[in-house]
Amino acid sequence: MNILRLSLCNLRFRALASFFNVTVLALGIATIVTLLHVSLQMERRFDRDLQGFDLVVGAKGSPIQLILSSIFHLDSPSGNIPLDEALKIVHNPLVKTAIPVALGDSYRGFRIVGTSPDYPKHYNATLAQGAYWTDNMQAVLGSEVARASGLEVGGTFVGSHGLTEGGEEHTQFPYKVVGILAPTGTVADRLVFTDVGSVWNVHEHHHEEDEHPAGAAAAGVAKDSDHDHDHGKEPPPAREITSLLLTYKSDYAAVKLPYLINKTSSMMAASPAVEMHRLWSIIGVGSETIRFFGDALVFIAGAGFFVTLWGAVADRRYDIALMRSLGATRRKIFSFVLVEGLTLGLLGVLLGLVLGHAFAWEVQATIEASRHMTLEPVGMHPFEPYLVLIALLLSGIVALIPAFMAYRMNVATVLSKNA
Amino acid sequence: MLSLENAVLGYGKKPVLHMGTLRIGPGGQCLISGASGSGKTTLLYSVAGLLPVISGRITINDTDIADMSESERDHFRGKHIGIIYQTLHLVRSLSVLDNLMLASYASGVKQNRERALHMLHRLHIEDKQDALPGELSQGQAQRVAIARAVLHRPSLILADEPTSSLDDKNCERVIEVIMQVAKEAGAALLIATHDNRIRPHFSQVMHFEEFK
Repeated sequence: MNILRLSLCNLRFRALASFFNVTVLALGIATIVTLLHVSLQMERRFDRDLQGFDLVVGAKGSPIQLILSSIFHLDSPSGNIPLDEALKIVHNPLVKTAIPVALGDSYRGFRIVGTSPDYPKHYNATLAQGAYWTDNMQAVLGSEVARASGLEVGGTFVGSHGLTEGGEEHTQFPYKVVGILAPTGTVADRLVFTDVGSVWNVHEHHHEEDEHPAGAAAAGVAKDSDHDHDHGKEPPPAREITSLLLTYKSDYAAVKLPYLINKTSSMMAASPAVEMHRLWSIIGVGSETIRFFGDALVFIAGAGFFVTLWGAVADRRYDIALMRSLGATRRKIFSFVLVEGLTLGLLGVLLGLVLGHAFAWEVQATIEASRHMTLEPVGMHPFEPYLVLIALLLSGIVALIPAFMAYRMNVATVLSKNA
Repeated sequence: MLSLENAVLGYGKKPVLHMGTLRIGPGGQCLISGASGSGKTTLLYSVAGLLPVISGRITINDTDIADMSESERDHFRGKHIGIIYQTLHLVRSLSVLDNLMLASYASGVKQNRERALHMLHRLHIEDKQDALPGELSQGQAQRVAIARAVLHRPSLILADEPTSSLDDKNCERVIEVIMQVAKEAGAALLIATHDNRIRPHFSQVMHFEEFK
């Protein structure tokens, strides 16, 4: 017999109430843990994908859309920018590096990105096999693309029009795989890299055939309704890309460059840091709501503990008086009720952590399957130890009053009432 | 063994009972009879140290418990006094064996499983060691309460109306068992009751009115 066994026996005896309280606390903890994990996974993921890009230059429209489409490859781009204007930016002395992005096609849902080898290299990608392209219609696959498709160096594939699966296939323009990247844990794993010329190549011919569906064309590199009627008359058409990913040469560029682009060109500049902050604050409303429910559950559990322990002390005043009469001191009784509350709390917290990790894992799997985004499990969230501490502290505080009630109990009065 | 001298007893500061002198020698067995409300329980609880002594002396084994602090009395009671309550007061959430072990745990006496099993065996309820009190008959529960009271080989056993809710046959059995195990444990026995059926068993009988 010891204090823990005694508490467990009592909790088992009041199994239903104990189970209810432990479950409510566990669900609260699990909700918070899940939220912490998923948001940390997303944040880390976005941070890794941002990886030092200071500015994105693209067609005028929604800045968030521009960031989502060009850096995270989650959204469709709003349009394209003329190559000659883009080149002016590239040559601006405030720009340190500039990576072109030309979107339009995809392969099995993975985006084909016309760019330079600097793009995968920006994500510290290394070639697991083969080499970078030296000519048009050569492609380097991200690790996830290679894994999912089973393609190897030397293999060929055709892109389909648009950025989602099911577009019309460009069967006359097969790509040849020349390289496969090692995994980076970033968006680069899910992209097909080729040179910008290849994307132009596919779509110039495509335009001549003039058969692309309007919807899919919205995402196309060559799509620009102002130019559509022109370019048939004056080949070669104006060269366009989707966007430019820039890094600054100095802090001064952060002040000057966005202003310069937004005011004096037909293009739009968006700062990933600013836009992501804005995006998080929008998404934050949703996650704050969930967080509120998590907190509420924990406090409901706290109230439940209080009622249970209070009831336990009231119900068991004979047991408690008996323990006193058997020789237990007031302090022993006090700590016994306290330990019972803490045991209840600990059970809830442990169950909550297990459930929370399971939920987080499930949500991660769902996001990976449906959002084309790989996430890395975070293991233990840095806030978790505090969460455990807070929950235990809460159950301890809640147990204090019943414990004090037990401490104050007049043994002779209770025993002689003989109820 | 047990002696009271000029003890004034009661709840809190309010005197209920002015005791003259009461002595029980080692292994002695004494019955306190009297109507309910005459202060028998007050006497038992005071001797047990559950109520503070207002004035005078209560000496058990040459130790005056009137001078002790509350927690000292708790410790003393746990080691030297076994109590059998009318309502038995078994802990419902604990098995029979755990109810005995709880007595050791609560008093801080080293837990002796063998001794507990021996007592259950002695009272013919060893097969009930894993049962919860709710699963026991009244007689079985009574024997568990008796086993618990003698578990630590106390020098004094106190019993409060141990037989009043029992029929004649069970009354005889219970009082014989209590007196027998008290003798085996070498403990003095003090029983408070208004149950006249058990009076013939005692040579030392005190009517409570005598002490008032």
